[in-house]
Amino acid sequence: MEAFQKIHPLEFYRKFLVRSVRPDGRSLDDIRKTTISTGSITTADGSSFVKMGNTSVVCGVRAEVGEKPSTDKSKISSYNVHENKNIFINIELGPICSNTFSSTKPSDIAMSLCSRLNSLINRLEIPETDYYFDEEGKALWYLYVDVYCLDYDGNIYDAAVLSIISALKNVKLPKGVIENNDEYYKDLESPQRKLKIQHYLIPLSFSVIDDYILADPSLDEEKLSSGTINITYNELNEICLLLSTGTSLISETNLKDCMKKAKERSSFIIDLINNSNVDK
Amino acid sequence: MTTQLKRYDGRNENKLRAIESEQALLNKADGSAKFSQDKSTVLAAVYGPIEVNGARKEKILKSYVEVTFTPALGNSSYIDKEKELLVKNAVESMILTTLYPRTQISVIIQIFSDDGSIVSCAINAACLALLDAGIEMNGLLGSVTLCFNNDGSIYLDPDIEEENESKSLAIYSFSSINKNIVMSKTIGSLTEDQYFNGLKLASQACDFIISYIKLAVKNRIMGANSSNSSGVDNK
Repeated sequence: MEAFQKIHPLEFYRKFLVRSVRPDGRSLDDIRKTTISTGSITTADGSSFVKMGNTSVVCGVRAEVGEKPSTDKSKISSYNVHENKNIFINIELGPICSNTFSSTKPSDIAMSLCSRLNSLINRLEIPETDYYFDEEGKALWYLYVDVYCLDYDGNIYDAAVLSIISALKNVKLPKGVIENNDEYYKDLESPQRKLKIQHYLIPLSFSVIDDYILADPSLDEEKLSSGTINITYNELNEICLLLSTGTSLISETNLKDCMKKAKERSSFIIDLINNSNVDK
Repeated sequence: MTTQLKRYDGRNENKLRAIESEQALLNKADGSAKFSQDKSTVLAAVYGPIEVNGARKEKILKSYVEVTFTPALGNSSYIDKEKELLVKNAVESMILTTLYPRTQISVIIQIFSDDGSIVSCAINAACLALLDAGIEMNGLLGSVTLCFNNDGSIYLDPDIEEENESKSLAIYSFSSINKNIVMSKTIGSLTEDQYFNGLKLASQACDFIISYIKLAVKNRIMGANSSNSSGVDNK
């Protein structure tokens, strides 16, 4: 049995898939158990820890004060109105999480994931006043979000999105005072405030093996798959990101099925994020 | 179709920009093509099937497809890496990789100038270059970018200003074999209805691009005229 799995992994999977189950006991659209906990890193300004089955990621947010950028929009032709650049996301897929990654240079997966996450998060429409360091907003807070993967067992995108959104909702920023124009002080006595993030992000990914579409794929399934679909909804059931790639062509009906499954998860994820962020 | 002209360059909402292409302009490459949609110009070169460099990449049953995406200015950043993967995914699904086991097919994309819809332009260029190199493919590949505006209108093939002002963007890629989606990506929030409306528009536009590519190849082989200008009107 084990030898069969090693030598013919795809055949092995097909034997299961024709009966609509997966080797780990899940049905095709079962999603692994997802847990979120926040605030576990006390030295960070916001943090979260997300587990989806065996995939686990930890996310920390570091806030730094910086000057307001000069906003002469006319000079920069590629200026994008949507992308307020106050959040910088970096994702680290190091050798600790899987032997496929090297410690020296970031892998292609990490790089494309990073740019996808940046464009997703920077369109969350957080008002600029939320980043003000002092009352008038002479200086701004910049948030550096670092996502570290500890265990890579597939579906890193969903885990990363959930960890970032819950960590950002966990961020507490102190108020600041500026004296003599360039001396910045944190006002530790006044209450800390949170970012006003109205939106939620509900991610769900699928892998395509032959004609079967598997929700929340594990690493083995991802390796065998010929296509990937990432769908991210917000709480208004709008698509925030949809990416379908791979060598298998995807029909419209299959895509609609996936969208339906992703939407069904919305209330569960919203509750999960809210419950993880209750002030203790 | 609305006749009201709202766009900066006087196009209709669902009109592509003028397409121009040229093939076999590189000597050393097995195939090459330049594809431009007005001011967005991309040069694609194809080397292959060649020996795989790096034993770890070699696949026993398939050829290894490598795409290199080089921006017009500066070094390639994380954003370019993501574009590279999009092009790679689209191209790989069309090449009959099982016909070239243990080999590598390299596609090199060089951006000349980026005026919006650059990923789509790169995919179209890559398709034309693969044809020029004589790589066996499932079918032809066409790609188009759409932008969704705040007032609900959808612009086909946006330039960079329209891309920046829009609410969301969607890149679609279709093949000539059936109506299934080869590759699709959205940026920014849009409703499902908008997405599927876009899908329909994009599918039509891709058909147009594919027929253009067919014409370009035909003209090159028949020797009618080596360079093509889009004299054909979109619909």
